[in-house]
Amino acid sequence: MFRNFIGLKVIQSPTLSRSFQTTAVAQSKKSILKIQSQERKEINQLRQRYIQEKKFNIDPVLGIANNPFLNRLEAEVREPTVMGLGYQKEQVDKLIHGAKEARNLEHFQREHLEAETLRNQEIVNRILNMKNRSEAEILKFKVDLARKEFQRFDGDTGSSEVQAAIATVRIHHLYQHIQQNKKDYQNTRILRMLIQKRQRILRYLKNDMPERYFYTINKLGLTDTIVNMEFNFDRRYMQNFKMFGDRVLIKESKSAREEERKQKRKEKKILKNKSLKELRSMKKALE
Amino acid sequence: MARQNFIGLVVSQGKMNKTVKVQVERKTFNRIINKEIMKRKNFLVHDESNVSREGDIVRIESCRPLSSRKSFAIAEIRKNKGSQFAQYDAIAKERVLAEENEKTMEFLNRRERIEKELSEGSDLIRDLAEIRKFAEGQIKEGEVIDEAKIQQLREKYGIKSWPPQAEVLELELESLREKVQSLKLTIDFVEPLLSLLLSDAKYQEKVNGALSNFSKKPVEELKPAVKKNILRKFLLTRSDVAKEIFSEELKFVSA
Repeated sequence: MFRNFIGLKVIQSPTLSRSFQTTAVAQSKKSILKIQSQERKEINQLRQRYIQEKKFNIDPVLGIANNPFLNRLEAEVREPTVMGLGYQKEQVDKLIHGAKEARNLEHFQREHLEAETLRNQEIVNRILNMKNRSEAEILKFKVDLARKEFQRFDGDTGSSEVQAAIATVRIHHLYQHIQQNKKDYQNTRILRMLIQKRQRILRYLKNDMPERYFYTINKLGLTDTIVNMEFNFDRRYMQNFKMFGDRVLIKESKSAREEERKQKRKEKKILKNKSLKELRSMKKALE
Repeated sequence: MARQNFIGLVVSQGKMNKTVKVQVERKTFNRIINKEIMKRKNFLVHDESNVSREGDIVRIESCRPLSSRKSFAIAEIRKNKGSQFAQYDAIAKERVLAEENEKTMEFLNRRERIEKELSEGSDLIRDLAEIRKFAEGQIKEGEVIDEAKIQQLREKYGIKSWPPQAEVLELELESLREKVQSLKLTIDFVEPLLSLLLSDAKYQEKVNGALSNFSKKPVEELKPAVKKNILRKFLLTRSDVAKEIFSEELKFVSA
């Protein structure tokens, strides 16, 4: 192969043989226009990127942060009078009162009985308080509250919006669990399936009853994009949305890292331009 | 020549003024695989009044070139699904906001009430003990009991007398007695009256008037069998009202 190259004769290109001074003025103007158009293109590309990022900036698992409905559910569980096993505080108090009265008929030591009843009440309250119940029971309580808010009629457990609401409560619960136990791969898989199941249910609901669909997604803090996008609960997501803090989960290839650095440099350069206030505010909003 | 016409789906809206992107699907024959396949093409389309939304199905018609990429205009909106969805979304947002505000307020009020009760040390057992003490006159010397407070507590738990008289358990005998009563009512009053009312058309108007408030559907639309059932239910559950309305017929029946 090498031998073939030896026989080649180098031919100089005609443009190289010209001297620098002979470049036409019109040509330089053309190149300036080209550079300008290039700049404009870059700015537009950056704007488009920001728009896309804004669309996909919402967490597809947890939805919009600080959702009032889910916050309220969380607060309901922490109320001091909420009890586990489906008991109400009033019922329990009535029961204890009844027991006291029954004993009262047998013995006639009222002073002693009063103190004992209060102590019994305290014990029962502590045992049944939601604070001391298992995680599974807390979840059950939350699911029941969510079901009651979304039901179409009393005792409705199967309508699409109820299913979606229950899935959302469970997703939030599992998400917290996985954040604490990041090696629980089995539950990670369950969560992945649950998220996609919720998407499926909501897509069906959109076709079935669009009015209820929009009510449901707005109440659960989801968006139409989240429901209809292709989503897999993978390491890329975990890294982008900082599920485990700043932990690096994906090792990028050298070229990808280089590309990212390049884009950042370009972005920085563009944002320095004083006239691009709008772009800067877009970036701020993203963060 | 007729103008070029396509039907397509609006895939992008709101990014350009008076312009939307419409996707048109067409069948083309592929010679290699000997099969018709779907081909999609996006058109930029003029939308003068910005009416269409993402998801609408529209008919587009060619016009003179309006810009370098735009030579179509929206002729009609076939299905306004997209605009309907946008409307639903806006309504739902408002509704959810109002509902959440209301429920959060309700929750906060409940929490405030419970906190107040807890700080005052008021709960059912203590309250009932206090009421009892007052009712049975077991007040120690030097102890002051606020009568207004006791009254308040009584109202809170709905206690009218001490010891409270309320039917706790439904006795079997009582339920049997009720059953017998309803059976007797059926035999003496409901069945004969029902057969009388349905036998002649002259009672029709009276029956319709009586059922107008009771039945969920308009009375004229009811089928005869359904109407009979509803009338029977009316006579059974609201026997007092029914006796008043059909007093003349009752006399006739008893005679």
